[in-house]
Amino acid sequence: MTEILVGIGEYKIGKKPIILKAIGLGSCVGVAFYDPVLKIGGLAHIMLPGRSDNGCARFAEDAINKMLREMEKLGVKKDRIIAKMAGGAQVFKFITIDTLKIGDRNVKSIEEHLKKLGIKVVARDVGGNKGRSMLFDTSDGSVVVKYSNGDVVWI
Amino acid sequence: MVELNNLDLDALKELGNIGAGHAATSLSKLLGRTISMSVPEIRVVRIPELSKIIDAEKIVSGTITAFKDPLCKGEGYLYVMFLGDTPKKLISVLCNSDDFGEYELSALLEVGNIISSSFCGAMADFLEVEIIPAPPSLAQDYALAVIDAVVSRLAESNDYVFLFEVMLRDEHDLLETYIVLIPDIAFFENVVKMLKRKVWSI
Repeated sequence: MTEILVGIGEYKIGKKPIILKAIGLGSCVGVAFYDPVLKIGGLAHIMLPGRSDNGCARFAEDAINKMLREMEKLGVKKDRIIAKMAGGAQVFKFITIDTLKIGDRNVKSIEEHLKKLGIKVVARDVGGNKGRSMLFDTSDGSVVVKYSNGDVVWI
Repeated sequence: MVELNNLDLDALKELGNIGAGHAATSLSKLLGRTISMSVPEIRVVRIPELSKIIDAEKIVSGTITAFKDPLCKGEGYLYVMFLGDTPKKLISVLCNSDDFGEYELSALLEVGNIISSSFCGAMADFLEVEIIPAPPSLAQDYALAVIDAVVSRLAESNDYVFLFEVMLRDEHDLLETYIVLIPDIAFFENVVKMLKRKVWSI
């Protein structure tokens, strides 16, 4: 199947069966939205918590809002969406720089915003100290998480 | 985005050159080997493109050092990446060990520290400013996962990052260390300003 790379701070939507990939997630978080009825999926590679002044998709709330709006234009219904998320790790062993501890804040911001929107999170694999890559199959909504140490989990 | 011309990018390149040269000398003294430096490169990269230009899923050991120039309120990061077998070889040279325990990792962290502090020191001397590095942090992970937190910090206000990249190698190509300097806009603009002043005053 075709694979599409979702760059850091971007989101992509797959209307046809496709693999959406967010690779090398450290403190960043991948958020997958899936409508099981229309089999339409979206994946956001989120860098920062909160929102920006200008609707920039690097920020959690902006990325989620924009991806949701674009999916709704394709006929997706918000109450059908299931969400899966992975990432938000703390990969540094000897951490001295506070600004590098951004993973937890990203996860918290995303979860709060999804709760506010009433979108169900059905699976999550967040935190820890290992980087991840996330592969999202929009034909069935399955997500494979590959860890930097070689471990693989399905969520 | 700030308006940039080639001269500005050359200014950053020159500064990076001086920093990397000193870093190579320190590494050479530490290891007792000749260390050579590649021709450095400057890149201006849109943040989403980083996933493509960095070998995102390559496993690296790297240190990140944050530095500040309190006067211009600029800041930046030095990413020191040890490629391939380099971490193992460094540990074997420095600790006479083939283990990857706390002690060995802290030795690796120290190598990152020596490289980045000599890099910062050389930049500060050349620009005649004060540059204060924070102690480095170490990670062993996907290359992109190691720097995404740093890029996030810069991405709060910018769509682009500037990368100054250089490779340090020993004579047998056994030790490969890749250094990336990632300045924020304030630091970068100050570099351009200071270098122009230096050139005009000659």
